[in-house]
Amino acid sequence: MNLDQALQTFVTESRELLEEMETALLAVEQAQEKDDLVNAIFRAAHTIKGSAGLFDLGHVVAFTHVVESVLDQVRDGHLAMAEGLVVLLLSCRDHLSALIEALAAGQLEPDAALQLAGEPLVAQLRVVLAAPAAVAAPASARPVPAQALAAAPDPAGRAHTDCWHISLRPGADVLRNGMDPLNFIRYLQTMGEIVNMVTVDTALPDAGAMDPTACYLGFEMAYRCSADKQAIENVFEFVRDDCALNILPPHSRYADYALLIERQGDEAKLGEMLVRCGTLTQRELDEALNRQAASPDKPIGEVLVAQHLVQPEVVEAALVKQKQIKDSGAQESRSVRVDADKLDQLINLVGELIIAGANVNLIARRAQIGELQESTSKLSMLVEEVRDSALQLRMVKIGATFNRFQRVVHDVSRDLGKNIVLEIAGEDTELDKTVVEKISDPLMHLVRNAMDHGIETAELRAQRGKPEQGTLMLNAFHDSGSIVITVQDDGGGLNRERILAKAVERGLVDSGHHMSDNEVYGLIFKPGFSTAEKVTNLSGRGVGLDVVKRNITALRGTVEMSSNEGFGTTVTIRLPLTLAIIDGFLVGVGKSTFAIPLDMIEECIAFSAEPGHNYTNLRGEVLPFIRLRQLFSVPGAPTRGENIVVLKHADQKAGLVVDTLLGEFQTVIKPLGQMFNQVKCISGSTILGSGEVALILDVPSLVRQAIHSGVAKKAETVPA
Amino acid sequence: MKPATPDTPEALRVEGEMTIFRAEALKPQLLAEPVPAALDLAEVTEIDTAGVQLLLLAQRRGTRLQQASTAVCDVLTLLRIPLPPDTPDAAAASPAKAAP
Repeated sequence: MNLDQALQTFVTESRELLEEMETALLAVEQAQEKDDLVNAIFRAAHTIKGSAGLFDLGHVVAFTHVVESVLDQVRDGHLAMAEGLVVLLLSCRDHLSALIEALAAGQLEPDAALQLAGEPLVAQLRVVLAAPAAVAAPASARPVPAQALAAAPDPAGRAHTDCWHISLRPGADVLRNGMDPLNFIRYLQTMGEIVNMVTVDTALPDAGAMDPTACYLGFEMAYRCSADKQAIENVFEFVRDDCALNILPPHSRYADYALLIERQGDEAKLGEMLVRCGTLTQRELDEALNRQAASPDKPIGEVLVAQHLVQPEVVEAALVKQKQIKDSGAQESRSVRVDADKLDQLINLVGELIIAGANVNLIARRAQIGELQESTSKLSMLVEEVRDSALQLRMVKIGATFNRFQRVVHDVSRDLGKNIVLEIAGEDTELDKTVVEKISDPLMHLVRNAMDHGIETAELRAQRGKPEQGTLMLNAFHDSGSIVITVQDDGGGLNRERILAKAVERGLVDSGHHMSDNEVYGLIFKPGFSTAEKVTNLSGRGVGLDVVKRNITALRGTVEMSSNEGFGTTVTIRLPLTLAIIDGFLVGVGKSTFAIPLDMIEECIAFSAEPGHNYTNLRGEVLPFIRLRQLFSVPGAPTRGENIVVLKHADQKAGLVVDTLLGEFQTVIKPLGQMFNQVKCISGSTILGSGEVALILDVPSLVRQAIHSGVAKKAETVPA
Repeated sequence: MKPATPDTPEALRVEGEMTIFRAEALKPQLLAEPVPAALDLAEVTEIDTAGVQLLLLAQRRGTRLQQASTAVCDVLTLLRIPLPPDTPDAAAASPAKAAP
């Protein structure tokens, strides 16, 4: 592995770890069981520090070290993970993230600005650390040459011994599994010399409790050989998962031995064994234990990393292990970063290719050359695949966008003095990168809105008999060609009467007009509409929701609100999966051709209608329909054998009466010019193989219109 | 297993393998009540970790080990467990300190 690659892996891993750290930090305040989260936070800092040491990134190590010291105090229960500390640690995380990003940009040394940004944080952390703990200067990662070691307890804290120390605690099952630790020990003898050994029988229970087939013995060995750690470890390969194996290289730090002693739990015993094995002299043992005792607030694990592990391969082994755990990390390192512009250009070209391909298809069909038709159909199949994979390139998971809101919710709920937790679902849902980028702002608006107006204060919630902690939920899923994103809160819900009153007051609706719940809630999205009694610095000025709606409409999406007064509000956003190219279905009316997004078509049926009404009977269901000829005033009389295309959007169905069905067509969406912005029921245009222009129908608005007129008609005819 | 040599009538003589395969059967005899005064290991042909565990436990209960066979000696030496005092080269092979 060359260094650049390794560094890249480090950057990628650190990013992930920092993300985990942020998630854990955000969760820790609310969590009942904090230990796991604190450990996760600690682990993230710890690992970054350890890996940074490998690359001699002194500035990262130094900064992380202070963070880690604080975290360690938290872990030991000396410090409470209070709100102030979480905020401070979040800032530290951000700083670390900045350091890592600078690193990713090729900056191995911190620049002045970053250094300056880090200083106040370090100062604050130091204040938190009750005692002014000395920040260990990042030591060199190089092992000290063996010759340089003196016989007396080494000032650098290294043992004099030239032996490996192997601590083996076989699992209880090894004997039953047919493995005898004796065989491994015998094999060790063939590779080198077991200088000394202690058989540890402290785990051996009394005669009554002893299971003769279980293994209770442990072994501490001083082992002299020229093999490397990997080779020694390999000896135990077959029992690796089934035993606790610790291998310390020759001249390890006292801290390492102390850690081993600490891990085995029985301090006096194991220390004595190390002496008996000849791994440590009594003086060295005292030194190791003293060092630990001298800095009780700095447990051994930290001493260990602060001073760097002696053998780089030990760290490497840890890194490898970590990588196995984080498979996704490895996958990421295989990815290529591509400029978004290049991708856009590719998509544009694929679009042109599709149009040109359609043209060739048409000519081939006209020329009536069988061979040519065969080739072109093969070609268009390939073009279709190219299109799909090109579009796939732009698909990203929405999870990253969602997770950013954890921080927003955390900060805003603090500002508002409310207790709100964010729940996330469907983070693996993929959608077009451009859509993700553009949805971020509207989502931000909705999230803030829900927190400010939706979720009540803790006192009010308690009064209403709800849990004190408010919940905000972000969810995403696919649904017939669109992606649905919901923002849901368990707050006070919308007050229908108040909205209606406000709307009447503003002259948006007539007071006598009957409106459905959805329509009433839809009023919220009108410009300048706010029912909030007080204006806060976050929202409530009545600007916002209309902007949200406009942004979403610009993405060819829809937004809807539903609410249950007293129990919460759900905002549902529907967006098309992609903005550039879709699978379309062509229909003809008169001489005009229209394209319909294929995903939104349920089925096509022959035309039939209840006499005199604009609906038909679809297997016992009422299916309202629209006559496309009427809607767009296409000249000419309806032909015989009209068809109904059944459209589906947001769980609602509607029919579209057309003259002819022309089949599937790869539709490259071309936006309509500014002039046509106000045109209803049309969402764009596309170019057909013949060079003609076909309009793309806006299914959501068609469905809405059909249901509207259908329901209105029905209401007139059906006696109440 | 039978009563051993006349000079140590209370010693239990273990014969054959002291391995995982016989551990279940050996345990009640080696760790019987009342505690056997000594175990005679002269006829032990093979011993593994399971056997060593039984010996250590017996020793802990006050049972003496004696007459260790070559197989036993090899393993005890390997594991640096003190050999029974009557073993010819016990003094040389045994480490400085006695086992607990």
